[in-house]
Amino acid sequence: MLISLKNAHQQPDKVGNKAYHTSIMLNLQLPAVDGFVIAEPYSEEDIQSLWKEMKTNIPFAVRSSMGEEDSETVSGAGKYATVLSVKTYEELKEAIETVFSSNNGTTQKAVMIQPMIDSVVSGVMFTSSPFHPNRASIEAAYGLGELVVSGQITPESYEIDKQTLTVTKELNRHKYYGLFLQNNPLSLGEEKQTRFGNVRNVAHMNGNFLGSIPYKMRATFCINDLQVLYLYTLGLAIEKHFGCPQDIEWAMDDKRIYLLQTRPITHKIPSSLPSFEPSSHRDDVLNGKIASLGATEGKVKIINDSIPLEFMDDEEEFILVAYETKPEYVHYMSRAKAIVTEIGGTLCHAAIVSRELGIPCLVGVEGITSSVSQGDHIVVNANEGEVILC
Amino acid sequence: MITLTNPKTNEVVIDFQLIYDADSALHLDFYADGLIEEAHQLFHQYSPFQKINYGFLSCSIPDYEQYENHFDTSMKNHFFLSTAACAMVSTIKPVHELCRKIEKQKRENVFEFSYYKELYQRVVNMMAYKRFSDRCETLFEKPFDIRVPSYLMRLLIALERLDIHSSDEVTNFIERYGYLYDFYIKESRLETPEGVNKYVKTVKPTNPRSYVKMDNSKRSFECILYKYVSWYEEMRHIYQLRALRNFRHFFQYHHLDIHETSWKDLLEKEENTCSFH
Repeated sequence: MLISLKNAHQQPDKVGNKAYHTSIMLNLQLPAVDGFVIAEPYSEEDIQSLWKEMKTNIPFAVRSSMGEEDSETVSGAGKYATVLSVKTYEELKEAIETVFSSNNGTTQKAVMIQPMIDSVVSGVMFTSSPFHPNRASIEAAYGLGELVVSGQITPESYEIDKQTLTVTKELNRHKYYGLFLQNNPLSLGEEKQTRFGNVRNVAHMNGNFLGSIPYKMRATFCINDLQVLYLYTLGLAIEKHFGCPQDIEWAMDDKRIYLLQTRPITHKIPSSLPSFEPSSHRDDVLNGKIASLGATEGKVKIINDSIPLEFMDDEEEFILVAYETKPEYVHYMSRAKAIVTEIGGTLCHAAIVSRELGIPCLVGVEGITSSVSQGDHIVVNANEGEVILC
Repeated sequence: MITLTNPKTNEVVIDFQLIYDADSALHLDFYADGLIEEAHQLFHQYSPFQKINYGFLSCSIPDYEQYENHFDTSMKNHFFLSTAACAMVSTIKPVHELCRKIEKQKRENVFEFSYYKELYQRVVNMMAYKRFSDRCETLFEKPFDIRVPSYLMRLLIALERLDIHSSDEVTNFIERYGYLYDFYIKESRLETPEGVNKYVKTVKPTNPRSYVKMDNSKRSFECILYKYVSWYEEMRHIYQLRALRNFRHFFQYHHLDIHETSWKDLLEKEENTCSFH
């Protein structure tokens, strides 16, 4: 069945949490992105009607809105497929099938179809920081948000003191690339103009392009303090409605800020940390950003595209080390004692999942993948932001 | 070298903007045009690379693979290595000479584009050997404990010797060494008297003598070659940054954006206005 997003909140049992939350944001007059939901059972006519309604707004993003996803206890972050830059009827049909088929467990299945925002900057906001309940956290990067949420880029961090509304921020000069919407054909090396500067096409990626970012953009914060506070105000309105802290994905085009989705923050901040003493260590220490607190030690399993995932299937406990995390790694992340990644931010999927699992996680640990080998023993002391090589 | 392969268009692309933390389009052009010049300087042949944008090259996949194979094979040939190393050294002095001429002109407030055009070409010739020296380092570095006088060591020695109470000395230091502090075209913290005075207090004493000893006795061909190439690689780095600093002065004199002006922009501006005056 086809349901407009504005009316989706009236049928929460059919549309899934993500669509329900988006519908609520629309009805609160917040700048969410309007669109449609296809819920099971659906027919070819539903897709045809959807195409008729939305074809003037191409390209679309097709996202999952499954039953267990985005609930108060489980985020399901990065678990289901998302298809971006859908431009034709055939692509739309295929994208809807892909997203539906990425769910092989939940009874309630739905997908959300929205026009894509031509994001110049995007990111994630936690209305309550994972580590400091008196602060809100925002992570931002140039381009579409997929690289931020999937942890494939190290974003810029902003923290807002909830009492004083003071913004603390950390400039990331190494934001060399981003994923950008390709709304017009762009040859390799050609530039797309944004209000921050020109990004240039380095590689085509499924209707989008990987853009390299010039120095002036790298040397500038992605968002200013006023935009940070505006985002926080929007976040507070959503938090107030749902009655709990929210994890919100947002995007900004050349004109305004949009809210893409919201879900409750599933992680609860521990009141105290257990003390930890590693069994042995040498002086080599790598530092990273704390994504989930805790400390442990164990054998390394490095995971990347060139290693078959079956390699991870034995029963042995391991610490998962990756350059970045991907949706297909989620199963292995759930079995790891700890997660360490070379890039990524504290609000990316790896971080959210590790906090849900209650395992230590460090992101942005520069050099970790080249410093350790399969089977090496390491200590992950996420309380101190350290990886100790043994 | 970091490349991105695009099987759909059968292209390999190299975007130096993704590789180096440079703050200037012109600096990225040094690398891109240097890589194009590499084929001519090292192999006396046309380059397979095509310049698409500032600091951005593309090449067809078969041409790239063929060229890389040729490069790899040549790097195993001792005669090629020693000839290329000598040729590399001979590209540095012309940059030094022209930098001095341009700096002399600058003191008289003269900024003649023809000199900068020539400087750019000389820098590109020098940069043509960048990948050659990088490859020598990866081929030969590990077995030998070789020390060469790093450009940073030069900077530290100069700082240690600096009498900050003499304004002449500080001015000379800024002119000769200040630009070595970082990799950017913008004025470094060691290019102002205040920055120098502040920084000099944080400098710890070094023992530079051990770093400048060049002892080639009882060494293999690879070792001697590596040391020779590494030594001049440091020199290349110094003159690359010195040329960049001189271009900054040129940009500032002509009110051009120091970060965004590329080599193509300069040539177009010259063509449109016939001169920079």
